[in-house]
Amino acid sequence: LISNQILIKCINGNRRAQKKLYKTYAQKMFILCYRYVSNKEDVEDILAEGFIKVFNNLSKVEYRDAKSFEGWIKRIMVNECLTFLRKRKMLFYDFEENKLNENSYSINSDVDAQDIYKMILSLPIGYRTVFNLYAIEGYSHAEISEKLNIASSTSRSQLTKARAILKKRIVKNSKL
Amino acid sequence: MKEKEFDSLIKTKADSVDTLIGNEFEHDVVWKKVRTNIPKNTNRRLYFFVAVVICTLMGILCFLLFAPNDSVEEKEILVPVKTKDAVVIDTIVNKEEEVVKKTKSVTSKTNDFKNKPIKKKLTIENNQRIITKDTGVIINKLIPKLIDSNSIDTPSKISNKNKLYKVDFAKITETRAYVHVYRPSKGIVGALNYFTFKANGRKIGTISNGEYEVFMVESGLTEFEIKRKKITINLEARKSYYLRTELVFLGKTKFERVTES
Repeated sequence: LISNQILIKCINGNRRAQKKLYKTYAQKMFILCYRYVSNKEDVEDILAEGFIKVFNNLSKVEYRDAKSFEGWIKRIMVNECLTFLRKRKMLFYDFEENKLNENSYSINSDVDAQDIYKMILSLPIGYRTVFNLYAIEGYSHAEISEKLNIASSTSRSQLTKARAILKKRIVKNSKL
Repeated sequence: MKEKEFDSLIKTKADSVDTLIGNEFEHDVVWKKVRTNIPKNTNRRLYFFVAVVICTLMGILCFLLFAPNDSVEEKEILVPVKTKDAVVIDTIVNKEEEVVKKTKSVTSKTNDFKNKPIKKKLTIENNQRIITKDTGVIINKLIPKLIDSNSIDTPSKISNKNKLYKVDFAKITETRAYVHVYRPSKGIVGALNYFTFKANGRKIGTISNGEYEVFMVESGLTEFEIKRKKITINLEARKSYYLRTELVFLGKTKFERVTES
């Protein structure tokens, strides 16, 4: 775990401490970013940019505990991913899916994590982004609409569609 | 299943993924990009460099201040004139004079007591002042390449290898006697056994097999010692004294005063 002392060393430019911090979070952040941008090379670029921001802003962050610090890094990485998607204009294209009755399925909690991850990756980018932000990162619709510059209602509808697709696929997967 | 339950299930599953099979993350590639763009403590190396420089300077200073400087003490009492520091010149010099030679390598030949030549090579540096001295029959072809003490004017440059000291030769010769020490050569026997030559308990030089040494020693009652064999002579200024030493048998040493002949 990263301690306050390591952070101080990182701020002072100690290379070993900087690498330790990087190695502690790199893998987690890679998986996080990959959920948004499912391309390895792009994710590596995003990670590099994100970590540069992390190191350059370390002196500004107030360290309370490892969890909150990780949350801060996550926010930076998510923002980097969204910036990337925005730059590439990859967000939000209309995706039609058959209407599903959401409440008609019960999902088995034994579904494999890797499968779920892959299902998320297979969602259209717009749905996936909103779903990631809302369901996994815990942002509200208001925050999402602000971040993605969309209406709150759009965010809701995207989330609903994303859920519906995921549920359908999970059920299909468990039947197999 | 409600939406919140569904979301929480998905979040738990997504968070539990710690590797992406088939898309393994290459840490080093990203780290190389990151490290070139983040602040680095260059001061640390600078401080280290400065510390090394300061330590080195302190070391040199300590050495200059506190290093045992026997030679400086020695020069006040005795100035060794060794045969290896002498050169042959074509003309025999019969009086004290100063010679300025150009750089060249010379093989010196000195005659020992048995007229065996001892060959030594040395270099006379440019404009080095050489003080010549006629010392009589035995070393009449020697020019002691001397000697450095506390005189200010000479010489301009002196060999670093042999610690030679500037000396006011004329002044020194007024009060000093010449002590010639000779050790005949016995081939390889005792070749590695260097005799330490002491005057009044103070080491003034070493004598190896077949070596001939001339020392200028302050006049007065002086006790010479080689391998615990002692000879006491009341030295008179400007006079020459001859001492002979040799390895006799199984480490036994002979040390005696001899005549010039």
